[in-house]
Amino acid sequence: MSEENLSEQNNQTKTVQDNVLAAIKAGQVHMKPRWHFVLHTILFIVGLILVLIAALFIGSFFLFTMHQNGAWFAPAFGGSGVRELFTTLPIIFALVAVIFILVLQVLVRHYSFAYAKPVLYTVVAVSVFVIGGSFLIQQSRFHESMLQEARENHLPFAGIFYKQFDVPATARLTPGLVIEQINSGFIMRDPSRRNVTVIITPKTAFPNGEDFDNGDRVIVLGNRQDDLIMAEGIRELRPNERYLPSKDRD
Amino acid sequence: MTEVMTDEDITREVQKGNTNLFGVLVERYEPKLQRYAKRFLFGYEDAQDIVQDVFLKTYANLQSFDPTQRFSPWIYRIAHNEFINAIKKKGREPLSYFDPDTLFPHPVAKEQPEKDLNEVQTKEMLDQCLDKLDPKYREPLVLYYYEDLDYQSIGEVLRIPVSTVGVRLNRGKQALQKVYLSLHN
Repeated sequence: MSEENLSEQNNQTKTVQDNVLAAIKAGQVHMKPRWHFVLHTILFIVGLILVLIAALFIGSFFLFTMHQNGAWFAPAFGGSGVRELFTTLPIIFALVAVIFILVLQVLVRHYSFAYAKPVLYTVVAVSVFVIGGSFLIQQSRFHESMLQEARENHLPFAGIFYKQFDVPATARLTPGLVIEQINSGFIMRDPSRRNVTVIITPKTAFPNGEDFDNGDRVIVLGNRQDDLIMAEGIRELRPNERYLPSKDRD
Repeated sequence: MTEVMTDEDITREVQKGNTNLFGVLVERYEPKLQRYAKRFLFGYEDAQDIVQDVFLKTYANLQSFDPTQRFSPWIYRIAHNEFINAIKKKGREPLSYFDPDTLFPHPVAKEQPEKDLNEVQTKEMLDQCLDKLDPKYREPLVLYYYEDLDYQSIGEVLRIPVSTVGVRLNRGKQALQKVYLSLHN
């Protein structure tokens, strides 16, 4: 570097350094106190936790709703069941859960353990965490308890939300409790406590067996006309598969 | 005394209230950040003012710095943010918000010492063609060839994976060669 450039740079250095120190001395710039950053970190973490809780709630509620309306069991009936699954899927919850996962992903990338890795890794990690957590929450009785409280009008705000999705009517998937055997099939009680006659035809599919005793819980695929269903498929539910609201549980 | 103090020691003292020592940090980093600004913010007349703002912001946020970490990537990160804000304000160059390079993993390229003719040639091309490169490639090239930061430090400054730093440097050099050849043909 030539002497002229060095001198110019030294002058510039002095100017910047002098300006900065003068600004500090004159109080034009203040060092933010440590508590400001601690508070910022706490708020950020609280926000992140709230978004995580929201994602887990929405994700687990999505799974709960699918169990309640029988959509969860629809694939057992093959192609027609899968078609039915997509028509009864509570898509809005899935979309909201995806949005929350993306927001979580953005928040998590604030930290070096996340931004030092490709975005794909954090998206997968966050998704696995939210989906796994949603399954665990759905397996617990949390949403069923909330639904029961909503029915008894004990939930002033969330109650409206739960009642809106309280065993929604679907045209072609009907859960029920077998209460009486008849020649052509059986009679079952649906979750709204209405008796429904299920007619078994030669075309009826039985994904997991044909014997249905009184007290068995089943999912019936078929068009429902008032209180009659010509069954296209009947699947018995295992003891650990919950779909009915608690008032219908034995 | 201050010559033997590390940047981190000095920040510790400034955090305790010894604000005069901040001048030492300014003295140490001003030439580096001026050089970074001049190379990255091509044609921005107020680059010196922006560098001054970097130091003021550094001072204002000094209590957020953890002295057990390295100071250099931290202040370069503040400089990066200020420079990007300046580019956005002027609106002269497009800045892409979505970066597909950071989406997927890439094989981690080994850093090459290039302490030979290769580096000299690259710097010659940079001197002539830097202003014609996309800021996305210009910045890592400036940090690597002029600021002598390693891949890890560049990753910390730009908040991208180390593998992406390698990808950007390689693509930057390819773009640089294209521009250089088109200028000399």
